[in-house]
Amino acid sequence: MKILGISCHYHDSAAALIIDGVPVAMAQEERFSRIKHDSAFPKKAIDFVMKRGNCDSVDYVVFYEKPFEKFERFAYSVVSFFPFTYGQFRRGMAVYLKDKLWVKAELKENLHVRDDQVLFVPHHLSHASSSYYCSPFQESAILTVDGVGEWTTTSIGRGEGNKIILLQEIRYPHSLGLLYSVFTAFLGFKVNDGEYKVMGLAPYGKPIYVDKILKLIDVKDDGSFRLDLSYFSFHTSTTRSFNQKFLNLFGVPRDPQLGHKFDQHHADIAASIQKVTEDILIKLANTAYELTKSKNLSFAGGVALNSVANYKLLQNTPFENIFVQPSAGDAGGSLGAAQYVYHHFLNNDRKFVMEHSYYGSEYSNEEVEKFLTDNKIPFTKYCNDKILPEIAKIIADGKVIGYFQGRSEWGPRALGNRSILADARRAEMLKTVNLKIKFRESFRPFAPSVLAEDAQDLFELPRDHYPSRFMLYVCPVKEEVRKQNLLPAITHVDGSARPQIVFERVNKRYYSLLKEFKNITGIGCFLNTSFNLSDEPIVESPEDAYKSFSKSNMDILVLNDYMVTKDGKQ
Amino acid sequence: MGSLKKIWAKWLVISEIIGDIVSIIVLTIAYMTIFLLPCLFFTFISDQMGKKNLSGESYFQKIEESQWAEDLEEM
Repeated sequence: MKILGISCHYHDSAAALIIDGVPVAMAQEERFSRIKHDSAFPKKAIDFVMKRGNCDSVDYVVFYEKPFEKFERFAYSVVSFFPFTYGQFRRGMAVYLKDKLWVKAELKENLHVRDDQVLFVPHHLSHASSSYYCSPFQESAILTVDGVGEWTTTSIGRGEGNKIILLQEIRYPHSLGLLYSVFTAFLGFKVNDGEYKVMGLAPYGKPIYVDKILKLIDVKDDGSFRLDLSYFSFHTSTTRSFNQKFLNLFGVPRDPQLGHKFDQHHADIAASIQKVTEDILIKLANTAYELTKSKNLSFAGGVALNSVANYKLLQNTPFENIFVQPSAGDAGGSLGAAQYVYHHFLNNDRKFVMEHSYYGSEYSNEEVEKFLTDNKIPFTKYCNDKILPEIAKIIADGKVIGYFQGRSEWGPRALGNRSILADARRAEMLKTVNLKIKFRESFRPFAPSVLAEDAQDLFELPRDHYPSRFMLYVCPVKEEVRKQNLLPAITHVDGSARPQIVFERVNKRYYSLLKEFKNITGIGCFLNTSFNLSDEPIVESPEDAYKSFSKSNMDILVLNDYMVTKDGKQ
Repeated sequence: MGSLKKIWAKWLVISEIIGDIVSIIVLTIAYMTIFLLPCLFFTFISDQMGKKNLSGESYFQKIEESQWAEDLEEM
């Protein structure tokens, strides 16, 4: 049974192919089109997953939301706030009439399937499925929180065996995801892109504006909430999400041109919205626990990428286990939609647990060598993983490496196969990698990769929790590590870090590299950030990797068993 | 013939005035229908959408099984 899940026409379009319930290939269109957050129909991603799965045809094609219901919400919203919504109506109608309402025809035309082979799963059900069906849990509470789907912005449900039931919801325009995005825009970052920058900025501030934010949102004890729309314009405007009343409360917005500069006021606002978000999520999770009495929580939706909040959920709720799928946002909806049809709709048992995120494309040594030779790029070839001690030594010497191996990662985090690596013991690496290599804001922290057996020595992390495999917990660095200043390049200003725990059985080669690094330095942990430059998608192919390497100040590029230096020396 | 022409000319003037009056009435009704009445109605709806619940009652809405288990073939 082959099922293809698709998400597109909003942001982060993606394709996911599952065969007999097991994902075989998944990718975001942006990786191939090189357009960040590409929302176009994911033709290239579909071509990739079909090729990787050796498929000419599929049994079902499943779309991750219901376009007509979404259109209904759009129309209702436009009408409700008439005549202020004229601009939104004009732009929105153009998009709906051009693309969104013809999804079924588009899917049939591109994938050569019959009418009855095209299915549509509600947006939050796709989110819920993408987490629960990938989790190791046989039963679980489910929480989904994002900007908005069709109508739902937040839902609580329960998973049991191969079935999912959503129990209650909060509907548009009342949205925690949209509230966070409004502050993202106010703080001068791009909506649907810069939310993690707000999360990174928050530890520089104090949450002194919580009371002011609570004027915008009425939160009940069970975590349900309602926005006071008189402060917002996201429901009437396509260009601005807050209005003058909001500005009267919070002052002048941060200038997007400021780059890495920020003032204390804006850091305090970031800290405040982060705190409010965490508090609401904790209340929502507690309600999910009360409704299900499960010890397990499957969390999904764009807000589940807030890795600071994820760790707080673990600390402040009765849940003993949390699962967050690495692509928790809309791209991951493609996977969830396919899984929902396979398990719930077709009533097939579960046999899959997502142990890793390596479901993207892969390039052989032959393909890498052909690329390097065709482009006359000097290289050194190593055999049988002999390159690993060499790379470990180079990192320990303070050099920065563009590291490319195996299948690319599913989701926004680079987890060792498309990564930039550097020595976390060197404080200067924070500035060097931020400003000279990735050309991004200097306040943003870097995450570490750490050997599984060393993780608890360095970080306050629970054992065997899946989110820490995918960099989805931000936890405190151990006090003794902080006191000795052992890992300054990955320890954030508040003493936290977002570690990726690396298991030998999950990524043997990357694990071996960490092990080699430990042999040299005594610490099985180095800095790992995604292999891309500012505002570019993560590299997919050797060609993308070489382009990013050439445009930045990285010292060494590693493509599988091939090493390329900046000066061309072999 | 001359008097018929005069009557016809007068009628043209009168009909133009009647036409103008009818046009104004029709346009006014159209304007009220298209703009003002919906405005009042939508203002009422938007007020409802943003209405605060002071009773402490939850903002959660229960999802009926028929809502989430609906036909997946429907868009």
